Amino acid sequence: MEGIELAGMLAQIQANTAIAVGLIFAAAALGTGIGFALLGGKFLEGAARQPELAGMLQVRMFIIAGLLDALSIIGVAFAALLLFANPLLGAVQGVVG
Amino acid sequence: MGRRAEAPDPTPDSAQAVYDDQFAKTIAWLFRVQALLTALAGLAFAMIGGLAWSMAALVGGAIGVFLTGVTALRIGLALGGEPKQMVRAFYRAMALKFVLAVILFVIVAYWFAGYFIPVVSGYAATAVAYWLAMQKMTHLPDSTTGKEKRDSV
Repeated sequence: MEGIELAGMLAQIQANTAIAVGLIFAAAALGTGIGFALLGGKFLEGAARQPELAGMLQVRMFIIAGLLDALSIIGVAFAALLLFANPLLGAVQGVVG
Repeated sequence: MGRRAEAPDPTPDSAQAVYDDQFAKTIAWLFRVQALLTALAGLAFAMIGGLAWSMAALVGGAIGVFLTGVTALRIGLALGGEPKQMVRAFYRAMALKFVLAVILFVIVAYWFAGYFIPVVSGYAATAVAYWLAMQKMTHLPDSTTGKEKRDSV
């Protein structure tokens, strides 16, 4: 009986983790997608108005893009941790022994 | 309507040379600051949790520096082309960065599963370099004159 309860608990943690990882990836994709779309669109707009400034805009776009995807990459890092070395499962398994 | 630059227009070739130089200097500056911030993070975590924590922070910082380098290389190769090509190269570089980040962090999640906070902190420290670069960039004069500057960021 205890084994079944434990398996149920682990399954619940894994299911919730899978949902959390999916949400993290979705939010990261949505945020960076919107951000990069705006960034690329504004770059093309600026380059169309003043083609001689395209090089300068590219440098600035690179810096802003680094900021833009930093948070999503951190989110992806935590998602990788949850997927492949889930500390929540480890806590339950540690209690059970 | 956007404000137009009031500086004299340099010739396209010389302007492109200036921007290429500016890009290279910006990347070099980013590398230096990211390496410094990674070392600081490693030192801080060495004092907090010892060698393992310090190594984890250094690995996180190394991931950030590596991703910056790969992205800069891909974008730098497309400098001076048509805007459409530049945007295409930019999006490809960002997609590559994202894929590499996933692969590297999955590998690191296996190796440093118990020390993941230092890893992410080390990576976040490298992201601070972009904030500093942006802050520095906003305080510079107009860069369309084509004149040589000491700081390019």
